[in-house]
Amino acid sequence: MIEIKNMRKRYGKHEVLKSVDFSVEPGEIVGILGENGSGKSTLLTILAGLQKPDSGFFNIDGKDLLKQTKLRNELVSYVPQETPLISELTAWDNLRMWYPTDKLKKELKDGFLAMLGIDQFIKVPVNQMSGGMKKRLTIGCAINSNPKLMLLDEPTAALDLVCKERIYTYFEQFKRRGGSLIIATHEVQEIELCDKCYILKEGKLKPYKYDGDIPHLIGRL
Amino acid sequence: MRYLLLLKRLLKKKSYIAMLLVVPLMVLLMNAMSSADAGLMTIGVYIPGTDESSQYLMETLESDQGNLRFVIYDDEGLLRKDVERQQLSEGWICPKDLDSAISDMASKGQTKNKIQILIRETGLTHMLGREVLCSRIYPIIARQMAINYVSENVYGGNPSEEQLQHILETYDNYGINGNLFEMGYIDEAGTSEEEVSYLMMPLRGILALWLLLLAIAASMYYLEDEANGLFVWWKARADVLRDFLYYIVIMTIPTVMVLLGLKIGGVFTTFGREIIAIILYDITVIALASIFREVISSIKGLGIITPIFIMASAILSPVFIDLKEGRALQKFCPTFHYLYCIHDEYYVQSLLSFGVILIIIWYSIHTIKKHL
Amino acid sequence: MVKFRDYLLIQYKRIFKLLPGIIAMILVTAVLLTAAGMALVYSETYNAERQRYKLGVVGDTEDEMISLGVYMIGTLDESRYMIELVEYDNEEEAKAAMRDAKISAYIVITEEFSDALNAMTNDAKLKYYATSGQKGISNVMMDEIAMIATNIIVYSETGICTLRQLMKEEGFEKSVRYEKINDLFMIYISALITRTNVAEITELGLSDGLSTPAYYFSGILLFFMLLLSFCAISYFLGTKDASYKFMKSKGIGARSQVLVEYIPFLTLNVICVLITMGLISIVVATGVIDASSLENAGISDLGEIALSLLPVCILFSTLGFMIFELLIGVINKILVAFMLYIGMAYVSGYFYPKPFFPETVQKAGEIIPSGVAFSYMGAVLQGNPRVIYLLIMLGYSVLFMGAAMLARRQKIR
Repeated sequence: MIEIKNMRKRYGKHEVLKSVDFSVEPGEIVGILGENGSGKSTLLTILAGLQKPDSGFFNIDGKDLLKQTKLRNELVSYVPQETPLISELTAWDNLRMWYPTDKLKKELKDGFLAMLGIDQFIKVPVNQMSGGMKKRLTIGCAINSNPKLMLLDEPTAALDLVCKERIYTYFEQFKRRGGSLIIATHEVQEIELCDKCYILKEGKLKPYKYDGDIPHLIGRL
Repeated sequence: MRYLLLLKRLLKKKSYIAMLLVVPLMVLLMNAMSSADAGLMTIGVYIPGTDESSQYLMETLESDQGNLRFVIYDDEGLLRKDVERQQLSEGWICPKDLDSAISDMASKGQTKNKIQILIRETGLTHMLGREVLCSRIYPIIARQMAINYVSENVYGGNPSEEQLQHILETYDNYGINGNLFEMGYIDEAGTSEEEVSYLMMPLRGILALWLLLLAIAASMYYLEDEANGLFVWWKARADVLRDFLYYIVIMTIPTVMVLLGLKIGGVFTTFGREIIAIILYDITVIALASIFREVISSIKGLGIITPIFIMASAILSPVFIDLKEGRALQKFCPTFHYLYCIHDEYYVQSLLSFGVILIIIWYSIHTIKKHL
Repeated sequence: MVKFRDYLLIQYKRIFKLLPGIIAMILVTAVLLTAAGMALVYSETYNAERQRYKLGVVGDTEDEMISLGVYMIGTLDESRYMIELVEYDNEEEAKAAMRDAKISAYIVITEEFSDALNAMTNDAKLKYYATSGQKGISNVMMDEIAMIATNIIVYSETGICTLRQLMKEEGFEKSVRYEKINDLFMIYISALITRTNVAEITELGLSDGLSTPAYYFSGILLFFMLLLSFCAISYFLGTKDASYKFMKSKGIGARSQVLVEYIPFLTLNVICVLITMGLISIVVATGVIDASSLENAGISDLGEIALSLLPVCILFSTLGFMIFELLIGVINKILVAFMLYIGMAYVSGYFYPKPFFPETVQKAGEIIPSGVAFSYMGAVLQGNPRVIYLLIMLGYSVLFMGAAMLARRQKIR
């Protein structure tokens, strides 16, 4: 059970997160929706440990991950919006930054990396890859620790449909193995994937049930 | 493995290889420069006379230049012009009858037939120039004084031709060891036997400044990587150690190039001393650059402090000049300690202490920032 | 389509964000230098000892010859105005004093050396320690001084030995020999004291060239101007080739892009130089640097000098721009630029006088950009600015801008 309680964050006078509370069950995909600048990325970076909240709790199975950073690094993976890859190196080299060689070979053969199709461009330098390849490689780099929770910030923005499909298939697989995902998204297809959705507006998180009515969704944002 | 991959990405850039090659290229150019005819001072000399003293002076100036460069002129007017135009540090104009001037000096200690020293403005180098002239003339004067005294006091003031010849032979054949002084280093262990042109003296200082600048550039590179998200997944138990090793990756090959440059340049001392000195220096500049990075936290800020930091290091450290004033301030420059530690173990210790202190400061700042 | 003027304004906004930081840096440096300068100039110790080169002496100075030498240097000889001898009980004290810069060098007089000197065999050498660090130019000069002393001592010894030998041959008694040797020795001592009477110095004046202070003022100022380009390094980072292509699609080609980015860079450098010169004027006004001594050195109208620096600013800015445009990566940009700057500055005589270098190097140093700038500044300080230097600097600037434009065009393709 993943619990986030009373999460607060302020930048100067602007309170980005005002007492955000929600929970995520194992094997659940949670969507965080909101306008640009509503604080979705802030929430995810706090959970990923890249910045500190002003207050709040973040527990997985009762363990406080805001304090136990080593455990958080093992259990939580973060896929940022940008692609933090080393452009001069190939996909193989970028993955080698995070995987031991034998594990890498195994994952490329029949693991999650194979599922993402990374084996097909393993020797291509990042500066010669398409946006989709970079995104898949970024996800591949992020999941090296077999996390329980994945945090994804707009994972399929600007990707083609085929690429999106691959990634969604991977999400489903990850979910089936008991992993949870929190996705900050604007994509309708991703919203449809989610088991639960929340809208982050004016620093507060409110549950939202998407029923396919896009104008209604826009109105709520 | 991560660090090796970071190194691999640097080596994939052509610009990085070009940057590394700049060091040996510069050293080779300096070597070529130092092999040409040059001197600490370039002194033009006009010797119109053909007497024995004039010939002696001409020969001694041409054969034994030392660290000065003598250019013999046929035209007094041209000599004057070249001094005025700063083509020469100074000019010496000898009288036509130098023998008579020497004779006067030997017997009376003064002469009306003086050698004229032409300078543009007074300064310390010209005091040295005058002393050099006097020391080049002095052997002839000393010889004449010996001849005069011996003639007077041994042969009754009127020696025969034979006796005079005997005096000259005795004097000229007397072999006295001419090497009275020897420059020593506090650390004899750190010396090499190679004779190096004075033009190569600033080489070590320039390369040290280059490494200092590399550390600051590495800080900028770190900030770029941080902004691009390199450390998003790179969680280390000891951040400071991870960051330190990040800098080591960037600095290793350039450091090797610096050692190679020192070797090619002929200023390399002993392997042990050079390795220890440069390792300690690298550690110190990494710590200093990291402190700047932690405090300033922006490429913009680091760029702004770079010129003044380099100028201060160049002036306070004995790169081009060895200032005696402001020693207390000089000790804040890592380059000062590095340049001094090559021949003085005391400064190896001071460089080590400096490095340790900076690492502690870095660690403290990093920890405070992390908890803020 | 984006207009040239709009893009220029954007670049100005980008680069002027750096201006407050740079001004602060210059101000802080000026304050620190002024404070240090004032402390130095008004320090009694500094004023009293400024003219004297302190030489430490370790070892036994009781020996007759040596104590005479010490006495002479301290009292009789002209060198007393230059050198002050400081005696130390042991070498460790002398080392510590040299490390603290209380003395410039020290000599160690061993018993061996005294004996060898008295016997006139010169078998033992006198060691002098002129640095506790790496050998530098001043140590090379010390070697020359050592040679001078050697010459004087050795030829005097030869004379004395000749007398001794010939007197022995002629059967003179020991007491007479001793008396005559002493006599000749004192004659040599007085010759030593009057040695400089063989020459007279004629000062030609600065009719065609700079005074030493003006020379180094130019050198240091120009070196600072070269390094100024590093202040704006962040301006040259972070932009990707995609941005250049994008601007091209908006009607701003390589040439315009380069010009539009260069002009604000130049403006920034000009402002920094003007601020620096302004601060120097203020420092002069406070009296830390005596205005009359500046005038005597040929540095009079600082305002005029500041304006004359404009062409140099243009040249150095184009050079910096070209280097940063050609090279990729912050490390490469900074390190290659630095090596180029310091190499050029060294060879052009910014740190050492030009006659210091071989003739071919002097000629090369004069034609490279830093050398042309130096010659131009020299002419300005002499009140005789020459158009030829301006034209050469302009030519170089055009060349560098052309290279930058070519590099940009390559990135766009």
